Amino acid sequence: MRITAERTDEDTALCHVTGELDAYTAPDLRDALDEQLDQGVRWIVADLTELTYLDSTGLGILIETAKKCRQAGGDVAVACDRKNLLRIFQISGTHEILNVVKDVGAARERLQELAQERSEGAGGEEAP
Amino acid sequence: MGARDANTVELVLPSKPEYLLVARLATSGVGLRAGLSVDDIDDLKVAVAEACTNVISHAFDDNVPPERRMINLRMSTGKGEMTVEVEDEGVGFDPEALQRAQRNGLEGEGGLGFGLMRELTDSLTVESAPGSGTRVIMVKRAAR
Repeated sequence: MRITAERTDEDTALCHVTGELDAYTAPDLRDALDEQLDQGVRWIVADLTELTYLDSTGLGILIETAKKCRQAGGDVAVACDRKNLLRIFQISGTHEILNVVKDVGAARERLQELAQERSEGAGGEEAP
Repeated sequence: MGARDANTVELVLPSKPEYLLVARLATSGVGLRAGLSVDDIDDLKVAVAEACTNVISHAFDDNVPPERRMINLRMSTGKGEMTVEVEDEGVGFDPEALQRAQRNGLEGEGGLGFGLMRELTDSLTVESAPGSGTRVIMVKRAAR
């Protein structure tokens, strides 16, 4: 598995994850995401379009990261268009809570929508 | 473990996450022999990895020496189906307690793994008892 993370804004990061995400490789993803959160990131686009394998350990890390982002006022959106991975998101019931969409552009739009909704709900939230 | 025949593959893997890939690769190879589709094999790979991950995470306490922390995998093929047994000689657990937790939505991450195993296979059997190890038996049938 390979992870690259880039800041696209002060509080937004785009993380590309390629290869296979299982209990062996998952700690690396947790560390990479936690590092972003420690640096003030609260909106994360997880680009899994080149990830070929995912199971409950990887899902657990994505869910945990989404909770941390929400606590900071942000959220996570997942870009994924692989059939085998989409099946895992669907049957685990995590498709909606992880904001799974088909590509990075749609994931960015989803986070902007969420920021807008929260801005309208609470007032003053800046869109990522 | 169950009965062995001429088309049975047996593997003994160290109970370590770095060997999960080996379990998945073996599942792919035997799945092709069983006539499963790529989608069926993808499902079974996740189910087998979940069972192995549960062994790695929960089966052995500090009293078990590392050389005894093993995952026994047995894969057999039948007419259009594949059976995988994942067995350990670890601490075991009460399967009824897991079912109660799942009913009450309290199962946590391990329960998510069991949920995936159940959804991704055609049959899932869990045999365990505290102190007696665990055996998970999964069957995947080729889609018609």
